[in-house]
Amino acid sequence: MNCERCRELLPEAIGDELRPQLAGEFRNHLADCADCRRELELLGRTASVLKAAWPEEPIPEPMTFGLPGRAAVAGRFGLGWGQPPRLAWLGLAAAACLVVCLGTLSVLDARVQIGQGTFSLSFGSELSPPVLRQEAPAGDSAALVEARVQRLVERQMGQLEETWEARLQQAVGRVQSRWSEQRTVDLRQVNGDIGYLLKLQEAMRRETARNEVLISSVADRYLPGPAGAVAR
Amino acid sequence: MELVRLTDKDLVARAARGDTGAFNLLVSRWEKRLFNYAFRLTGNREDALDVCQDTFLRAFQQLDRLQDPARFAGWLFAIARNFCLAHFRSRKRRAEDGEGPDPQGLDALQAEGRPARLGDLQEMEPAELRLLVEGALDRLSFEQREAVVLKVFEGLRFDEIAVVAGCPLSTAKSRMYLGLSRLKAILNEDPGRKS
Repeated sequence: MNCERCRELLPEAIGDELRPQLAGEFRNHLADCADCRRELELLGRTASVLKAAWPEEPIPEPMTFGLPGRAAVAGRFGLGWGQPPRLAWLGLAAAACLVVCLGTLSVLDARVQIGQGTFSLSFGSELSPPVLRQEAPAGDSAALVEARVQRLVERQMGQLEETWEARLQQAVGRVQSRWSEQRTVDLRQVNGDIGYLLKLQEAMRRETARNEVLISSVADRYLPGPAGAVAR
Repeated sequence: MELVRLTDKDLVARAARGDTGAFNLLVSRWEKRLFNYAFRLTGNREDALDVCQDTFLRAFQQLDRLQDPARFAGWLFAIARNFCLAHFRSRKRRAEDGEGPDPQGLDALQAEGRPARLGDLQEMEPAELRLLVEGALDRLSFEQREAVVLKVFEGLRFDEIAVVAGCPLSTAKSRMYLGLSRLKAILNEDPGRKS
């Protein structure tokens, strides 16, 4: 093996990737060639100096990634459908209003009728008058029949009102529950973002302190006297 | 099976199906190495943090495009490499425009009174040695610096370096050798004499 071939193999030798079939020949050449031996030694020492000078550092705490979901990730990083909280609240409020309106119309059993230039909006189910199978006694007065009908209508209306009230309460409960749930999620995200900013601020403060120490030590060494004091 | 016992390959497969817990575990396994890789390549902590964040986000978005989950690490480093390259070019442009530190001034500062030979570097204060090494790395091309960082600091094999850098195996070897030789010359040169 000549020096040129040996230099070609130096990268593999430094990286401990020298193929076994070449290792023997390589070692033999190094044993005979002081220049190549010195080159390998210097390169190895350079690599050692690099590693010693710049050891692995722990990743700063704020870089820990919380990924509850793809959509949430997109929101956290300001991409995708994730919106700033204020816009999200506006959208949520509009959706809630729509749900309440539709729920109310549904509960009130609203009916819209359009025809021949007329428009009418009515609420409640159509009440057909109760069929009175028994014939009114001959001597019964019309007032008595009217009173019975009135009582039946009132009973029916009372039942309907209770049903409407219950359904309305359920709809409002569902809307409030979803609202509260979304609000909790948003508050958690805001809280997380604030925490992230605080940690970032703390990291910057530590970094600034380290830089000041470093600058001071460099100034002490290279800029003695008044110049160093100014740099400090 | 507990996630922590799964290999990267299994975690990637799960994460590609939308399992964010699996992706979180991948992040926790690789974030430190990725951060240090980006830090040594960009030379700037904030840039490295940006690169890490962008890389994991891009990886999460494009995980289903990774054809061989066993090559997740190389794929992740390749993504980070592109972000690092963007930061490197941006910093270079700023330096050419006269912004940022003056490299010649730093060189002069480092040259004055520092030990002349590699063997003497061990006598230096850690902070000084760090400054010296950072300054020396700054004088390499991006490709050489990348090859040195991946081999010396990250301990990757040359075939892995070739995948990350997107170059032939022989090119990866020569970049690393030229880079290390240049560093050797810079760290070993006489103070005050510029190569």
